[in-house]
Amino acid sequence: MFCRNQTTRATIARGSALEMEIRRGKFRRSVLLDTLQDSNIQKKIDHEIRMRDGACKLLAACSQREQALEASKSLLTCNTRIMAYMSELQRMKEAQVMQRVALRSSDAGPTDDRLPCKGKVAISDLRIPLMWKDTEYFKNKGELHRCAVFCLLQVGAEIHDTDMVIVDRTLTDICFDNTIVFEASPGFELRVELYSCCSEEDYSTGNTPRKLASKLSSSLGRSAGKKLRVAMDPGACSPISNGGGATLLLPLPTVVGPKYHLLAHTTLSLSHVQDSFRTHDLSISGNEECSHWVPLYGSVCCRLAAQPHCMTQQMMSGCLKVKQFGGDPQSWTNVYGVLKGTNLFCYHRQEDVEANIQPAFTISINKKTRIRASEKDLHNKAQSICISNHYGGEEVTHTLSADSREDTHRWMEAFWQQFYDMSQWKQCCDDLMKIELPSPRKPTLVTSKQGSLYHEMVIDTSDDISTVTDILARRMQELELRSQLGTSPPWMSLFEDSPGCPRTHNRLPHSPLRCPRPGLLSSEASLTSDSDSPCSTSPCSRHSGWAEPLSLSSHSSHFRPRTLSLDAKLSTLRGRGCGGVLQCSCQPPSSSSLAPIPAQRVPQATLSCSNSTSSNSSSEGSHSPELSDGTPFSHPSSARQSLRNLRAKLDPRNWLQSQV
Amino acid sequence: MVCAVILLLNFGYQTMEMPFCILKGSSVHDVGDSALHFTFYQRIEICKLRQGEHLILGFSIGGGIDQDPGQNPFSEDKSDKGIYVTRVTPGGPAEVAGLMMGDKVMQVNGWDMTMVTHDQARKRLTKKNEDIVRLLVTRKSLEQAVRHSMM
Repeated sequence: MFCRNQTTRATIARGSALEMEIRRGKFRRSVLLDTLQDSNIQKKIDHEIRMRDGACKLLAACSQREQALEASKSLLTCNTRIMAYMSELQRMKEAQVMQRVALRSSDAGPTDDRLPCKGKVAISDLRIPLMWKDTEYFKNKGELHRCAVFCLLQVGAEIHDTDMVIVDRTLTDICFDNTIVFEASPGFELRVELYSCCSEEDYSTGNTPRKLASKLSSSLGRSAGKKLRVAMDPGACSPISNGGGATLLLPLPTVVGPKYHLLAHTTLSLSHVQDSFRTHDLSISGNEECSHWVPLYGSVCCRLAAQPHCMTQQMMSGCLKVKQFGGDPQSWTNVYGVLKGTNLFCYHRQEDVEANIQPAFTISINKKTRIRASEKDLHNKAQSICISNHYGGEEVTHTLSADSREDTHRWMEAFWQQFYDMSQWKQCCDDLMKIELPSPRKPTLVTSKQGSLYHEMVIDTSDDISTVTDILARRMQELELRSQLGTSPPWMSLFEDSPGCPRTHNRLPHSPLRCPRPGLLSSEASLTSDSDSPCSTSPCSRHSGWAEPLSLSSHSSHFRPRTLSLDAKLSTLRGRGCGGVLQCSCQPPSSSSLAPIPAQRVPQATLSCSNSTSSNSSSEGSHSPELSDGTPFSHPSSARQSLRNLRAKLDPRNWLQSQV
Repeated sequence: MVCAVILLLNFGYQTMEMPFCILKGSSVHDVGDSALHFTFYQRIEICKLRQGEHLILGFSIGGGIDQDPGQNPFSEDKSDKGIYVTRVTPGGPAEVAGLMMGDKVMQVNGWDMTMVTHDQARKRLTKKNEDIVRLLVTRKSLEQAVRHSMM
């Protein structure tokens, strides 16, 4: 009639109202906890569905093979993750149901299972040897049959993928540089799957028209996601409630693009964990006839290491009194003990732990240690714990005593847990294995969001403009030394300090501006390669040759503003030399001021002045500067950065954007 | 048969002409989408803004016959090598004039922009001697909006 409810430490009449209340209370609490876990998984599922939608869109939108392969890989990873989360969710719901059933039925006592601590499991340096036919490998005949491969690693619901590697005949091994770390319990199963895809066909234009294909893939993805969300909603029908354990069908969107196929797989567990490289067998699916075939040797080498938490974290700490057995019964030492790994470190004071001071002494706790709690000592009331070890044939026993009974109990519990963990993690507890955390990866070119990454490719060319002007300035300085012009042209005085005139670059010193005007223009002449000078004048404007600048400058009371471009920069430099007419609000020099300019420049000048912005394109070809919103030129940071920008612009893969 | 139809619809752009569309097709009486091609154009007049030493329009362009059309996120047809507006500076002259991100620029001050390189396009927009640029743009949303209002 009465039952002892251990958790509440009280006797309750069975079947009484109080009991039901308590049971219901626990029930409600467990429901709350469960829904919390549920919502976590649901959030993850939602996230993966969004990622998948993004990957589908990207796949439909990209035209380059590499991008398509990457997107397809993300798609596969997302799909696998969704499946894993869904099965996890189902498993959890089933467990909940079982729990509720257990509560409703006869009193099941609190489970007293001891769980082993979790740990970090890291797999790194994956290497899969290949076995090409001799003839293929050495003769290198015909086209190179290339395949894209990557690995999918799964522990429970945690799935990670490695980078993609393109494999062809010239490779002897497939190497994956990634280090992947999981959080797992000792009974883990690490499933390694190798996926491959032939990277030769053209998938960008499949049989289905692009628009239709993209519409299909995106719309199916969204509707599938909606269905999934509705089904996952705890308020609505859960998979359990309809028919119990009904699996949800996940309609996968049909995607035009490269498809990966499973090539080989293997499963690793605790027994494979070792601090060095080991070779494991692979189960290969597929044969030579498949398009995605890669001739595998049949094994995989990797380093699988594990760091259980009991080895890396402080499992227990507190104040203790330690006495060495056989010593003076009164010689108790007060220490602060920290149980970590295979040792019990005893520090003089608690502060020493943080201060990293060496402990007073260390008692090892390993599988050979014997610990027992002794009965009340004659000399003190509390229980004490005896720890005995064999140190080189000699048995050494330490006696520990805690402040209170509860403390002793807790220390014993900690020791029991430690022993249990060590028995579960086996060889991982002998020595601490090193796990190198993966360094932050370079951001990959392809992201799986809406494809608006192209907006992020800001090409900051204020550096470039300055690079070019630097080059010009240097040339000007060179030419200054060589030039014969002793006196500066009379119009130069106009540019010295008049506020109206635009100053191009603070770096350019005044003196070079005086003389090497000719030099500047001639170097510019070399820069202007294939300009569309004749036809770039707007049909609306009426200017021709020199007439326009004069007339316009007479109109405007302020100087002509510049547009933010390389052209502008160069033309101001040029303009200073030949066409003060264009810039200066001050008295525009008549054409007689052009006299000092050497004859060979005149045709060029005419051309360049009439075609205001067009003819001074840089020799870099079709590059266009992109600047941040509304800011004028910023000073360049370093030559290296501008070189990098230059390279970025020269890269044909970039889709240039220019600010106007 | 090509005829220009000016639609008297108010889009809220007070400073601009109404968008107009060019009907191309077998006959005006065909209502089915397959028979008629609607292309809606919008004229946008941007007054350049002086900012310090420079004249800016306040938007960014992408595309060109020398660029990879597949990377254009705005075009429906991924082989379209036209010039598209990729960004509009908030509060800038282009935004004030009604230019929107994703617009395809067909003409600038009378010059064609459908068959130009990227640099040529940029130059045509940034002529120093022009204070105003008149763009002819086309945008997908216009098409949809007009179609919607016609139903």
